[in-house]
Amino acid sequence: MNFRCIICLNRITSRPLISKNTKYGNLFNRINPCTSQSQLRLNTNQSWKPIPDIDYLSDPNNYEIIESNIKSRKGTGNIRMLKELLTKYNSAETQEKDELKKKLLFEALKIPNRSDPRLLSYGDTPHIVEAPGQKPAWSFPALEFHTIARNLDLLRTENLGNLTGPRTYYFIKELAQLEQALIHFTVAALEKKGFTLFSVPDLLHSRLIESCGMDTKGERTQVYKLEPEFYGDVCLSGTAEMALASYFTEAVIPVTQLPIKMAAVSRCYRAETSNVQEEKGIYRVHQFTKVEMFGVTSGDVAASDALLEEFVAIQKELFSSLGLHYQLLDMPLHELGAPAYRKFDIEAWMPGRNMYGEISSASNCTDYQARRLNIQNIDSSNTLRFVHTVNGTACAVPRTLIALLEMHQQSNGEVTIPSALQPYLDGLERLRKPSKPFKIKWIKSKSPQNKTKST
Amino acid sequence: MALRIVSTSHIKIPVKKHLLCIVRGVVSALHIPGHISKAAVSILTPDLSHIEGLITEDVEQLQNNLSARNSSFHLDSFIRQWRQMTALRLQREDLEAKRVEVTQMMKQVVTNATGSNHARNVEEIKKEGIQLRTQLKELTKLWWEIEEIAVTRALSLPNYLHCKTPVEDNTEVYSFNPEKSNLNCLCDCTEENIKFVSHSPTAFYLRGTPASLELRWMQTFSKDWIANGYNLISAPDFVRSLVIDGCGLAFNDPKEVLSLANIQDHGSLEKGNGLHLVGGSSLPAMVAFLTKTVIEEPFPLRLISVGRCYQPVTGILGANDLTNTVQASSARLLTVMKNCPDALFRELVFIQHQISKQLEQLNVKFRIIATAARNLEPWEQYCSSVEVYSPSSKKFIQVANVSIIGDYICRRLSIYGPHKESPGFVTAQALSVPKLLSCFFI
Repeated sequence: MNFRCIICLNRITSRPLISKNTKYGNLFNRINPCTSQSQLRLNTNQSWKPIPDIDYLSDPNNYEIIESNIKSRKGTGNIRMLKELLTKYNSAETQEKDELKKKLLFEALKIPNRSDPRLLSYGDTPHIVEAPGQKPAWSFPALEFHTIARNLDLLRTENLGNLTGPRTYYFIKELAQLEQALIHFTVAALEKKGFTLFSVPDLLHSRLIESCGMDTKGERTQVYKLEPEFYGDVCLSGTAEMALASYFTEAVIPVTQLPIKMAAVSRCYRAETSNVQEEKGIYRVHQFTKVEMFGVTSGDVAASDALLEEFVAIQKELFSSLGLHYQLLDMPLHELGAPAYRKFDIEAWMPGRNMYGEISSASNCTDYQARRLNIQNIDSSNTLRFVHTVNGTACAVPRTLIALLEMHQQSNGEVTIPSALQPYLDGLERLRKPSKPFKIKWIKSKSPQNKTKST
Repeated sequence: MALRIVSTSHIKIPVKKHLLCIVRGVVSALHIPGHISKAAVSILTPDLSHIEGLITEDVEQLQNNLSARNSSFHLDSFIRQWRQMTALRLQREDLEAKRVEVTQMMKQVVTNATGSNHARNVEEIKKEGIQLRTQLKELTKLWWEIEEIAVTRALSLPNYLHCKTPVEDNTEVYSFNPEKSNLNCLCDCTEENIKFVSHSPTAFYLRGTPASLELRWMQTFSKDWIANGYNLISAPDFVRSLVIDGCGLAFNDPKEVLSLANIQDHGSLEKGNGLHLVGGSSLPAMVAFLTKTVIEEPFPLRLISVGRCYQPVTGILGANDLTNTVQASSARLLTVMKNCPDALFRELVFIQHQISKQLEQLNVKFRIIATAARNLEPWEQYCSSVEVYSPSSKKFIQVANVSIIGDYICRRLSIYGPHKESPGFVTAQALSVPKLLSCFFI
């Protein structure tokens, strides 16, 4: 069938993707887009269609492993329901098929990603891959981040709930400068390793966020939204990963351009709460700055695994150069969430809390996000294939600051700055108690304190 | 704070008064009236002690201010309402004093329980007491209603005008025209590297050079200000309605400030403690740091914050315009100092001068305009607009601005100086990255 492409107006021939299981192949026909002009096109509307891996999901030989995967991940998705719907679809009248197709798509998209077979042996505990560096052995008791920062007049967390909301904080003076130093240090390191820096939108429509594997609608959603009555469907993104993945929505990328490595600094918004004592203070907050790594590879697990390993190596290098002791964990199935095929977490030693705290994560999402955002690559024979996406935290500022201050504290309450960060702080070597601290006193009373006339 | 139609469904009042509320349409997060004090949150009382002087000795100045600003504020009706409220308050205080007297009389009578008229006396005093309580209750109810109107209207009065604010027209105060403009050096500001998308209203990506510029400008500009004695703070991106109202913005006007959907345990717009997305480098986020505090040292206090700034779009949506985006990376300054008009103006000139130096280093054509009174925000006494010339659009684009606020916000949000006086604010958006980038399109 010939028709004119709505984007470049060239005539093209439709070439539907034929499924191996031809019964359901025409459920999700796609038309090959034109290849004559710029291959990298950005989404300009919200009308794209996700394409789950129906071939894999509908193969009876896979049901057991899919069901076991869902159960191990403690996730959503019901392969039996999907199987029933497929049977109904097969025997349905033409007029019923549209409605069944919608239900099929809905159920198929709920099924989590496949899992790396290596994870099956981990059970419920993360596998410690390595733990470089050492826990410090001090003769003085280790102070916790908040105590260190408050003693140095660098942090405010009190009396903010009625002004700026729960779990909010102000970094002050050198701590705010340290935040900026971390960001610039991390970005500089990533740019040297071939990452392209992006600036991304922090506000996204819910569909884009859900395509990346985050629920925006349930009662337990972690996603903040703008008031829908005024602004429609606008959510606050929990990580730049969502905007970076969305950058390629409905894009067709020449395979010769892959892998693509992107970095972005963004504000991240997460409504999750915690009553756990270890997560008090700025350990778990609703707003923070993060430098994110994101990658796109060809649709081949070897390629995405290789990029995941590269991301993990970068994380290790960054944290080692900051003088942190950490452990690298290969996460078990129930920690993967819906999109990840494999995930590594890095937990830094926080001596003030006497615990390891997660400061970064890196995931290979294979084609989970690509299928939901319609991101494909095209090779020299014009064959389309869904890409794989990989993401990783390069620097999550609050927790990295916790680890930094607690690891580099001195017996006199001062904190030494790692040499890697000093150039970004005009050579500042230590955080010291200020000679002239801020004296800004909170007023408990509700009444005005004076009645002076305005000049 | 403009008059507008708002829902007052959270206030339980009879239908006819509900209609009045819709027409009146002013609701403040700073003042929670007595009849809904249990349903809403209030942590401070704005200082309105200057209103009496304003409507008596300075009423002509106030009228001139309102005229110069082209304000639709109806002064005569406000003065009547304020005086009515004051009269009711005095009546209420009288009644309260009488009630206390009667209570004391009752105690005495009960204690001296002798005499044939004892029972009759107790009965009479009891009756008087009940009457007084009923009168007090009705008067209090009426006083709350009038107070709500009068106080919220008082809070909507605009700021004073600085003596140097031009009344008629915007006035150019400085211009810089380099011999060779620097604009051609950024040939990477093409459509591929600055891309608008439909992911959310006015969403855009910067890729490569523009993204690096964003980060570099934020770093360089903030370091300059730190070298000039400003203290860097990293502020939250959310503030409560109270702080928005305190800054003179309409907290429940979606065209003036972004509001978050209600979320459990986070407050709500209806209760006056909703959350708004403003960005850490916005004025409300910096003001929240100082709300309900006494600033002892340092004084003057100079703060800078760099990061996101979020605001609703003005004008046409979908215009793909970097000068009109919901999200921007920016740098904001705030000086807290003695509230003296001359000193505030000197501080403004200093900030203006530093911004000029930064732009001169970028070697771009720019000008500084003193904003006419009718173009000022209600919370501003004076404003300088710093505008860079954009060759592609052939017009000047505002990339920075400096404003004198005086003690307007401090009075509303209980911010005090070392001697418990209300200090003055000078603030500046010293850098707006998308707007400055837009000037580099060729």
